[in-house]
Amino acid sequence: MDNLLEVRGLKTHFATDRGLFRAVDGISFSVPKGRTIGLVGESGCGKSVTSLSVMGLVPSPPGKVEAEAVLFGNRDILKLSADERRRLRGGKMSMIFQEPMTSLNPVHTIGQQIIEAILAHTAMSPRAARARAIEMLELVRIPSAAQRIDDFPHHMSGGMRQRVMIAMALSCEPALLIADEPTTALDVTIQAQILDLLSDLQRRLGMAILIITHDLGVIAEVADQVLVMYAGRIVESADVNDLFADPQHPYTIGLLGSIPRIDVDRKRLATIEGTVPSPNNQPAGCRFAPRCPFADQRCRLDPPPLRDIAPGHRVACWKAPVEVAS
Amino acid sequence: MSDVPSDAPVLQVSELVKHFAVTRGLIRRKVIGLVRAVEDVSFEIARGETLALVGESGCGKSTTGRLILRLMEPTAGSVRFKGKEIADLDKDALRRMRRHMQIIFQDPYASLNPRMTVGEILAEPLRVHEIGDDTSRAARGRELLDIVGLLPEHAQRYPHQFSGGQRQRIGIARALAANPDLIVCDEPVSALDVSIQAQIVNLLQNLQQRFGLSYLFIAHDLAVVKHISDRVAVMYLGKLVEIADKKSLYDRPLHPYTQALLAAIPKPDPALRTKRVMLQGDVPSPFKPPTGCRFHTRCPHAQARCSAEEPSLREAAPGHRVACHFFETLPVPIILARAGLAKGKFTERLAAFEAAKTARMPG
Repeated sequence: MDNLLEVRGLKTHFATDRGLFRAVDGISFSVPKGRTIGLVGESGCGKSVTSLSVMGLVPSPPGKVEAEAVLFGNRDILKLSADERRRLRGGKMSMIFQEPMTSLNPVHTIGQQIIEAILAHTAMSPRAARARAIEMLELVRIPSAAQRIDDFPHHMSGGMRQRVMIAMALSCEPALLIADEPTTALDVTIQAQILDLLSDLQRRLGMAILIITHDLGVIAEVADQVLVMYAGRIVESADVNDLFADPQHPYTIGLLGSIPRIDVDRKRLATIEGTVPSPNNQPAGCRFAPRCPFADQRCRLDPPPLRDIAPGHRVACWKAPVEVAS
Repeated sequence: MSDVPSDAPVLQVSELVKHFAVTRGLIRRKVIGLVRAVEDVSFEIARGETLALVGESGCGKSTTGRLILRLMEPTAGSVRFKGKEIADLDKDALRRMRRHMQIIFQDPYASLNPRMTVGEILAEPLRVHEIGDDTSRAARGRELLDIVGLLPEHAQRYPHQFSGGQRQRIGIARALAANPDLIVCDEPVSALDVSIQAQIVNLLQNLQQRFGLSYLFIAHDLAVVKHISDRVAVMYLGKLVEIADKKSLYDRPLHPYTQALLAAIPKPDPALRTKRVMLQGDVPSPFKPPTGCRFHTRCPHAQARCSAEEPSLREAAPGHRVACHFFETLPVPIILARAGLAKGKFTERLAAFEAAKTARMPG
């Protein structure tokens, strides 16, 4: 399969007063053309920093992004100049964020903001750009788009603002859309609308989506493949069906067990004891070992590599694959 | 208050109303309209029971919680706590009453005073209600920390030294300090990560069993609510649209809004991925709620009568009430395909995970 984005050995570290903060610590993954990859993990696992690193939005200093390579359409984007990077961003690669309230400029109409993005990346005339903006607003199902284009962000509800963000992000027909918690701030009926819109747009426009979320329900709904992150590393990566039917890493198992579900009656929720280790003081071995009920001496001393246990299923755990071990 | 029989409800809310005046003008303030945040809400909570109040942003669920504690004055209606009308109480009597009804907030960061140690935070409700002396309050503080799964030495620390989950435990310990009967839990887990959320939900369930607490559990997450509640009340734009015991509500939701809410929850199982019927549009402004049934603008089953006439909350079955003109004749929705989960190895994996954890528990 053709990989649109290939990340190899990405490390994003931040220099802080309290030492080096290893937010992302050596991760590799790829995003095939036209597919949806889900990146899931809890607060502080490094999932958002991963997306910002790929977009080139990590402030430096204090941040430092290093990798063997970050290939986007066969070009190593870490080697591009700041100017080339900027042209890429919002053009072939664009991003939507969690907070549709703060990612729009309150003093400009939504039309001005979408048109600005189009003019920055294409050779369109302002008149054509406005027509394009209206077309984009219609595409994201904003009713009476030709009138709403002159509204200010505060005239719109949260769900509508997220639609505007999506319209803006897609206005230059990106090959890759990074969506960082795109529905977390929205009510559940609005979340369903936005997820449905994203899958529909993907079918029609053929872009790849990297969706970052803490919600395994959202992952199950939209992702083709899933990466589970814990403390700056990928601990498991699999096809979405395999991940839910045959989870291998103890962290994935605990995480799936701790979600309350409406389709399953459970007396008690599973819990993962303890809390996530601090990024400037990581355990020497497997980073999940202090919270893992299966951990032994080897786990505490020696970090397990991410390795294939079945076609397309990779796990960073000494005990995997579970079937062989037991 | 011991004259109240023990099977009487802890809390009885009837026809509760809260309107907020919307004003214009700086010098001559003119009321230009009313936001009808809570309209005619009635329910009761039995001893040891959890009633969940669910709905989307702006439906009035948090306002209802605050009216019950009289942190806000209701426009009309009655709230009786252990048989006593709260609206009639003077300031002193209200403060004495509040000892028995407490609240836990959503934001464990904002609800603890950053300049007080945890010990001081836990002693404060006891001091306010003039319970015990300094020594006994400190002892109670240590006991509370143990009850919520923290350590005695945490009493000397400040809130910023704790994680989000630990801070929520402190908030719970503070609510428990004066031995309340009722705790209003206002979105207590929605700011937490799932693994931490599970710890807090389990803790709340343990405490309920141990101390016979009643909870009003205010939340937007119907999956969490299904896990923790006995009965569920669904609100939309300030009104109750459905109230039922948990099993009836999740197995056979009757109001189209409840049906839509349940259908909209993403199920953590890719085998259940289906094209679903979605609610269109946004929640209308509570400043100008739609005429008739407030849900008719988004309801897939709306008919002419729905925009003309407001439906009353009618009994569909014992304890199951619905505010819809047509619930008897609506098609039964398919919300939960209970497939998927049985296959796959997840269940046995989780059992192994839990068994290994139990084996490692000290003692």
